[in-house]
Amino acid sequence: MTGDHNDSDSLDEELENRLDELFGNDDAPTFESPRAKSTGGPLDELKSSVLSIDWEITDAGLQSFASKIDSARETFSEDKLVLMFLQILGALGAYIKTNRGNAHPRTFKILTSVFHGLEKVVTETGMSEADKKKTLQIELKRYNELRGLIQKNKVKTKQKAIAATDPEAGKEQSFPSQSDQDTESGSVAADQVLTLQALKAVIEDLKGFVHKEIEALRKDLAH
Amino acid sequence: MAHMAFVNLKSKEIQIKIVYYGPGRGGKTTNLEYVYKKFASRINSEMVTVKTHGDRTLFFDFLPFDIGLINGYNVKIQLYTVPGQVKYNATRRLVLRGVDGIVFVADAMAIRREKNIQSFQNLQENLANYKKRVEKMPCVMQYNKMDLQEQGIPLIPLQVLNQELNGRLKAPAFPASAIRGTNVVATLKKIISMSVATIKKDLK
Repeated sequence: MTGDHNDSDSLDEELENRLDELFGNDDAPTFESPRAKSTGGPLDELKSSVLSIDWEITDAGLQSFASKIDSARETFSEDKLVLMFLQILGALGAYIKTNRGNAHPRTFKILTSVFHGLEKVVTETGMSEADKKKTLQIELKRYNELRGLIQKNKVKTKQKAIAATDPEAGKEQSFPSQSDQDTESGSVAADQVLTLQALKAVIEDLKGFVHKEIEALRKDLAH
Repeated sequence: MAHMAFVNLKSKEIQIKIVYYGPGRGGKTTNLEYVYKKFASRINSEMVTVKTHGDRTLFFDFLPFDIGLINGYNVKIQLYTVPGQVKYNATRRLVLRGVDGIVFVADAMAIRREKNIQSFQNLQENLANYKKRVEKMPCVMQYNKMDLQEQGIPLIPLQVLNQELNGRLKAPAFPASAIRGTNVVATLKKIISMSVATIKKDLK
């Protein structure tokens, strides 16, 4: 590489060839042949809101998210399946609003995932009702898993608090429980209680939905 | 010599360190993941990634691979990403140590305009720490997430991105969609070529 002979061109060529060998036949789409298309309507705005929350949790972002969900609810008021997606998104938004930076780290991934599920259901033409339901169930499962994780963390924190003799020990908890936050802020915020109630309502709805699904599956199997 | 890759004249081996820099959630890791997944069998390497706290890069991603013999030298490439979030500056500075080439991955979403500018300024400050200047080293700009335009998400026009981030630098720039792979390879090839050319110049 240090040679003083006229090797510049040959080196460039050699390098170019090696890189082509390594990274040739890349079939990534160009911008001239896009794969995705605009969904149009309220979901575009909701998507922007989801991405915004994923990036930074701000009052304005959360407010905008809630209002985009309301708007989508109106648009899809006749579509129960879409409403279920929106309900999950709303519950996740409420949880993020209450817990902010202390929200479980998986929350944001699940928020995005639920949105993508919703987007798929709304935009994919020719998707069967069964596939739509399946997509909802997958997202519902993820959401319930998250709820389980949050609950588990809360229990762990409480157990630690009881067992700990070192007052510093609680600070190592990665995801502070509600009770930790209450201690820090001095009192239980009213909106946190409301959010818990909202979550309970959502869970009841979801339970009902799952039962219906199981019944429908049972009937399908019986035929 | 402003910067120099790790060169072993005896074993005729050159290691080139390329760092993907840019704001958090901009697609740096996605660039590496695309290369790794798409060309795994050819590059025959393992990608090391440290992700906690959701899926955000907290330390860095690392993808080493060999290019093979170039002009009698065995050229080894090491791709790194830095954590984009503002608070991890110490890690970013550490990853920049000994860097030979930079790919600045800007996020083309309109809401990230300020974050791009802040991150680019942060890059300049951190390089200054090692007495390096982005203007004096191989650098490629990548304007990522261009595909989002098709979904109605407001983007920063390419002209504005180029003016704000690349106005003085005038580095090669690629609009890209790391998630789809569009221009990921073009970016990588460009930064490798530029880095090799600079090392060759430095060795003379």
